[in-house]
Amino acid sequence: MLTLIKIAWRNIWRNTLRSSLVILSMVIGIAAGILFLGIAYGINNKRMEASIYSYLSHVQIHNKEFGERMETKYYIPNFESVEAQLKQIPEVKAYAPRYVFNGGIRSPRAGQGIIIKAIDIGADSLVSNLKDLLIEGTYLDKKRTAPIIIGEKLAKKLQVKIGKKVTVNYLSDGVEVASSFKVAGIFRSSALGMEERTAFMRRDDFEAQTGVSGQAHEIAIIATSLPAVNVIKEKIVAPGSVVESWTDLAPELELMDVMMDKIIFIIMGIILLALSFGIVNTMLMVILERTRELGMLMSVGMNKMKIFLLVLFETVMLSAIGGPIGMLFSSLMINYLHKTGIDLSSVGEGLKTFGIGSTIYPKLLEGDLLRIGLMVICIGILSAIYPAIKALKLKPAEAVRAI
Amino acid sequence: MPIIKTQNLTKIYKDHSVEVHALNGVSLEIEKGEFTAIVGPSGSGKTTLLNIIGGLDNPTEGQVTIGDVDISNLSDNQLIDFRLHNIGFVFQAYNLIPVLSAKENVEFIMLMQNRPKAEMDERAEALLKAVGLEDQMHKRPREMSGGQQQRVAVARALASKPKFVLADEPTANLDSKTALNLLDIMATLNKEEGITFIFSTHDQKVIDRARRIVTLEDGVIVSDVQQDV
Repeated sequence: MLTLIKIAWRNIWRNTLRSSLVILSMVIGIAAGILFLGIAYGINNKRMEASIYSYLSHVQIHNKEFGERMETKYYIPNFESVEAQLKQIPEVKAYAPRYVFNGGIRSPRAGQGIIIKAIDIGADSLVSNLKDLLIEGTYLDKKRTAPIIIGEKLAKKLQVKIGKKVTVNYLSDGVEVASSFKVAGIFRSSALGMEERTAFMRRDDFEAQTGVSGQAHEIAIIATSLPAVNVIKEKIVAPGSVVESWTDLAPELELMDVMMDKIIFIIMGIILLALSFGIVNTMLMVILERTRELGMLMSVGMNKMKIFLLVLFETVMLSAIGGPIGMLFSSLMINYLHKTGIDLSSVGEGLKTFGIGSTIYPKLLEGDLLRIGLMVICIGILSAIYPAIKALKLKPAEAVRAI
Repeated sequence: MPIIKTQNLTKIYKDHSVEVHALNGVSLEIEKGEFTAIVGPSGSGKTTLLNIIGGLDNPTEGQVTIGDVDISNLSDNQLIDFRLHNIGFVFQAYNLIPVLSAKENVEFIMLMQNRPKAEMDERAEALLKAVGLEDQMHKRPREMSGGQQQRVAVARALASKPKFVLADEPTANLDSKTALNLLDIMATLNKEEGITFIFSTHDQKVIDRARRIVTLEDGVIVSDVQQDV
């Protein structure tokens, strides 16, 4: 076996230029594939983060009855007890209680039904990226009188700008409340309907207008890591409430994540398949060139398995040299780019619409390189099969005299 | 008991609808220790006869017995194994493994036979010494002349301790002096160690050295003579 490996290794370097070109094509193909994979993961990661920090958070708690009606009477039962639990769960990185309810917003020129989120300025900035989504104006602060933040599309519809007055009305426990607000900020978001139908006001203002205090319709929680999400979900004891993870709230986001993973590996597979054609072609040329040598080996008694292994080793070695170099090269690139980021400001506007931002930080998931390594080995083995069959079909008496 | 016995060997090649009779009922017996040349013009069936005796090709009809084994009945895999342990081959174009040294080429056959490392080392060195290449052992084929390569091929053929060696036009690619030198080596191995050699050739130098000359024409043995050398 060792001799076969030695022969295969030396055979590779019989035609240095040809083998080097095959290896180089493997290096470039694999490096480009992995880099693409890293960038795609980077974009996906940003997209997920954007969704989680703009409207989902990792875990949300609501009253069981709250549902889509979003009536103000459905507060989280035993809010203080739930909040006390959250302070004790180490997997909770941050949380923010919110009042969330349906209402209407009106300017002198137009009106629109909206979802209003009354947020705790300090706590919410730890679980939401609303500040980063602002394209005009400023975030909510304590100094101003009744500030409100609305989406760009809603601002256009209402035909209002920063500093203009709008009236918000809603029902609080059956009593209609109507208040004036000043537009403090305008945000942009790709989250479905968020720009048209969501407005943010201060929690204090809601409490002042309604007389409600120390309650919440929603608690948004950010976990210390993604695996910690389910731990938090399991640890919270909140009778009368529902505790939902981001995957419960937006299963399509998780589905996209899974699909992205599959698509990326399909593309990687296609790249490797294309490279395998190059290897097969090279090995067929090798078999053609070495017909006489193979004929001799068969004549003197080398069995079919050893002939097959000889071709297999040579093919796998070509992949085994090109694969790791390509993987190492791309890993170094991804590590570097993960630190520096890729500035895509030329298409930044488009990306911002998706809530992604103009700098992408490529990354690889744990086990990706192992999976790709296995794919490279499989491709190497598969590439050997056809040339090996060609070699095995040679008739020794004819092959040994081949010109 | 003859070491090789062929009975009524017929080989017909089919080229589209045309049948070519390469051998027509060849019966031949070769004893151990013979130094036999199979001669004849091109297309007379020399190579076909050697291929069939060497188990590289099957006869259309007839039987080949090596020792007490009828190789016509062996499967492909059995034939490969039989060749490995019983037959040495020397080819016209040397056909050494270019990426191995002379010694490694000789050892390679023994390696396939799973011989112990020490035995391989010792035998490869002894054989290369016997063919006069003790100082070329670590050279690769491209660093050697044609004659030297063919001597390595002879050493390789003997490495497996075969019952006999088949040499197909072994001197065809060599100049006269080198060819004579090679023949001397093979004749010595034949005389001193009793190794059976069977050549196909139309090289007069080989014919002159052979002790038995079998002449083929149109796939038929037309003469079979012994000569003093």
